[in-house]
Amino acid sequence: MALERQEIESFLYREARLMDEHHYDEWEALWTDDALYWVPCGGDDTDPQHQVSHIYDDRKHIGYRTARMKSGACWAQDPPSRLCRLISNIEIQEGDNDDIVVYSKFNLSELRMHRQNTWVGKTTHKLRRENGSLKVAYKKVTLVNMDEDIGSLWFLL
Amino acid sequence: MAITRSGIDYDELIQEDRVHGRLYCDPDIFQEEMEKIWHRGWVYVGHESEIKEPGDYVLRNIGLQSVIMCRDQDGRVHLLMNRCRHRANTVCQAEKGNSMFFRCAYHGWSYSNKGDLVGVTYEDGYDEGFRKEEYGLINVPRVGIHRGFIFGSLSPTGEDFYDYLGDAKNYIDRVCDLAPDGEVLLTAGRQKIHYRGNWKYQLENLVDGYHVPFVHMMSRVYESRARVDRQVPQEYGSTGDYGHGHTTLGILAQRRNDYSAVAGGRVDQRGPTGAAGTTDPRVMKGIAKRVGSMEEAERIVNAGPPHMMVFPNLMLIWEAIRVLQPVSANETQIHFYPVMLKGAPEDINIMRLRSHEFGQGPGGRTGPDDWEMFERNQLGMEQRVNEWLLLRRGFNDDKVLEDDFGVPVRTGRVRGSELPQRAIWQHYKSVMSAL
Ligand code: FES
Ligand SMILES: [Fe+2]
Repeated sequence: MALERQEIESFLYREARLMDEHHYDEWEALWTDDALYWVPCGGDDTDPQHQVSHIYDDRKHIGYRTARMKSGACWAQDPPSRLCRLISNIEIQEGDNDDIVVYSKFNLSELRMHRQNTWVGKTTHKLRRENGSLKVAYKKVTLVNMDEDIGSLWFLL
Repeated sequence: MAITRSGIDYDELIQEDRVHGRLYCDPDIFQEEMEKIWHRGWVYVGHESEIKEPGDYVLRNIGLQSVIMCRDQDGRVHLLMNRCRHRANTVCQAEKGNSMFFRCAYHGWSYSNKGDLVGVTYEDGYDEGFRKEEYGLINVPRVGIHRGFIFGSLSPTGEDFYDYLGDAKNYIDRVCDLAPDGEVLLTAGRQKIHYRGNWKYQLENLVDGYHVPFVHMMSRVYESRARVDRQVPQEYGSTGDYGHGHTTLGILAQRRNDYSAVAGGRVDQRGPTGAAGTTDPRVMKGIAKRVGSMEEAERIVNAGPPHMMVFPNLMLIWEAIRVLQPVSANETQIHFYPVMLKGAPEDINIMRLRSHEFGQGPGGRTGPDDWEMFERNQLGMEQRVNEWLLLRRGFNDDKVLEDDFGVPVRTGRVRGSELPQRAIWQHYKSVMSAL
């Protein structure tokens, strides 16, 4: 378990670095084929089949998202935000079908258009081991200000 | 001369083919807009489906003023000013909820959701000159509802609701007619965003066909049906000016479809009309049952959802509505509501949600690039070198045609004609020049 915790923490830190540094392809490669990437809106416990979310991407749409980020025509990221995030409060649980459920908190500073924005929230990852390496099968990012008026979400959360 | 009390000459600032940058920056003009457009005029507030049950309420704004939109025990809709009649505390804090009463926390006065003052704490401390009946929450003086779309005006007098709505009524009807039960539901909540720019950028942009191939070029790459080089043909019908500041992209189904295709939709889930889900046979059968024939249902679905700016704040676009909320001369919010079709199979409405999320809102692929343009616009506007903005595209190249509803409307020909922007500004000028 101690070893696993270290591996999981390293995984989250690496993902954070890929996101901060806009390494879209490497980030995209972290996902399983049946992945779900969810950023709810209007509440932490909303039913995404009946309530609108900010992001609710299946694997294909994760690909569309990164393709757009890489296109050079995503004006909301021209130039890209400068990002730096801290990941903390990591808790690890056993999930269904050998999935590993990981809860964590983040504090992200985003510098864009000469302004520094703070994004804070909690993340639930469901990680799965595929061919020996960890992959993200599910990721839910709950922003503290999810139901307020917010700026663009075209960097990686 | 149209110099108003504020001393601003709108005739000078708004010419036929150009407008002055001051209109987007000046806090005095913003204040005058609040008074003349947002308080005197009609504005969209919310939808009946958001307050379905007695006691349901949501907190909204008319201009900058906080308004409670609620349904009383008798099922009637009220718009109540969120301001205690004692010493002006807000009486409602939550964005939404269910309550028969609003109790002011400061000194405990309570109001029914009709607005009546029903409880005064330590009432014996008041003399006989105080009459409770006179201290109810102020009801917004005029409320107009069309097919569930609730509008309000803070002025007790003025233009009749349906005169204001004019031909935009047909387009609201179209939104509703796409639902098998002839009703839409705004029950899936909303996303909210802000940008650092004036509200009129979004007002003009919703009906700006000129920017689409540039700002949204990446959307088009996703579009499997439309090739990237697909262009909207240059024909009359691409834009419409319905008066009252109401404008549209596409007065005819075909023109609207072209625009939808160029703007792009959720790749795999978008029908040929851009009418997410409405081409599904189950939906069409439902519509046919309501309207009496499959032929009529096909006509409705083929004409698709509108792309309309209802002045000053309601945007009908694809599977969504958007609502404009000014904050100050250089700050604006937009609220995005996915439109659910009443009577449609559940999977269709879920698909519409997914389509909405990938298209609209802060993580959607269209809006954020538009707001980026608005913020750059505001920065550009700070440069006071030559302060004019040119709106001359398709100038003097328009004519009156009949739209899908048989209504004559002025329409432009050239691709990305700025006819809607000119129309918005001429209407704006007439409203702002009033004394
Ligand atoms: S301000 Fe509301 S009770 Fe006094
Ligand atoms: Fe746009």
